[in-house]
Amino acid sequence: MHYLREVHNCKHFRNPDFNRESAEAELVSRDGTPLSVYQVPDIATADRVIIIYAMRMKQQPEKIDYILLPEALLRKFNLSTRQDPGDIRHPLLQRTHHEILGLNVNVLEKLVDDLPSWGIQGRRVPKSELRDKAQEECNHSDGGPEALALVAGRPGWDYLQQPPRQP
Amino acid sequence: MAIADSPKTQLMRTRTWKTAGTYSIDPKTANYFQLKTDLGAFGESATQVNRIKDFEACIRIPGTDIPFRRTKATEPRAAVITNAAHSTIPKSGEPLLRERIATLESGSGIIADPDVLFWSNLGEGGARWLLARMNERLGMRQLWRIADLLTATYGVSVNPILSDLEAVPSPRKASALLSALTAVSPAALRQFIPRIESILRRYLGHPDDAVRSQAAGAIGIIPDPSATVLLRDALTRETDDDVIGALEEELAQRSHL
Repeated sequence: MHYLREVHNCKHFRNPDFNRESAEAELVSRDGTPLSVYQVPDIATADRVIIIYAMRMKQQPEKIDYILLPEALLRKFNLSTRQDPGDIRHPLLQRTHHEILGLNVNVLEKLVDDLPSWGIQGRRVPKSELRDKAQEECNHSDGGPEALALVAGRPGWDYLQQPPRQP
Repeated sequence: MAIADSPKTQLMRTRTWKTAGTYSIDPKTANYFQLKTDLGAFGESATQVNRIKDFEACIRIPGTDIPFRRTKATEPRAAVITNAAHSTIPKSGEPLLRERIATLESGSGIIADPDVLFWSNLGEGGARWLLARMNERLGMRQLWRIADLLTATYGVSVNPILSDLEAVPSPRKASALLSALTAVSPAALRQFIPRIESILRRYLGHPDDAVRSQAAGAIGIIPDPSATVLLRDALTRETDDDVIGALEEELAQRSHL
């Protein structure tokens, strides 16, 4: 099991480009609140989660990066997680949204120091891929209408409302 | 701040109140705030009274010295543009603004009209306050929410955003601001094109590849042929595969226009 976290630049977590300062900034939570992550069993789920997350958060399709934190890494630092459906209006995001508890500044520093030895996986979803996959999400049996509702009122996603082009 | 006459009284006094226009509430406080509204669209009397009360409630942000300019909720967002009377936010306004932004940061989706009006009414000072907040230790989600808010309040935020981009923001902040600019209506950016072009040229050479990708995505703001030239120039220098992909993607879109 892994925990997905959206980041500014996934490459800052990879060897040999590991950037300690950037990695720490990516994993900080606001005002001591728990760190928001998504629990994903496999890469396919991770890819779906990040697309729907982008639809929920972004004004328009654009590149988005994420990393996958192994569950064992969290266990090593005695970090626990709890499911938090919150007010997310999409079934997949609701099921997978978790919070990491106990990640204070001291633990964060140690965890970031340890990251290079874990071979953290990260991926950038380019804009074109995000555009196409968002369309697929709107037709998905698990949360298609909810995905479409997430982007309502944001002109950058208007193309999702149009019927697919005929070949 | 003493208000000599309530806006309701002033509005009720005037016999031309169904005429669209801009009203200064009081000549003595005209520099302090202006109530700009299209009175012709109010409708029947019950609505009129409610609307006017609404304006009264919005004249000043409660508990602070911050003036509040208000336009009617149905007015297009571009019309929220008013002369920014305030370049900075008084200290007394900090707690309220922090409370307000914390509520907004925890949400998602389109920014609600009351929030757009609230922050627009603070003028460029409000936008600069938001930009300063982006320097704090925020998660990506919070950064994005502020970027969304800056997009929604573009009438007052574009100039401060460009000023921040012309300085040296953190890579995360630079990406969020480029994203905010990308989502602004091209018509609202027309007067800033030379400045934006210079900014994008610089960010296409940024050391962080994620920022360069974001800058490539923002090229859509620039009209051709300048955009194509920028993209081709960047392609000759770029070495990162992801950024090359982003540049080629934008170039391909240009060829379809």
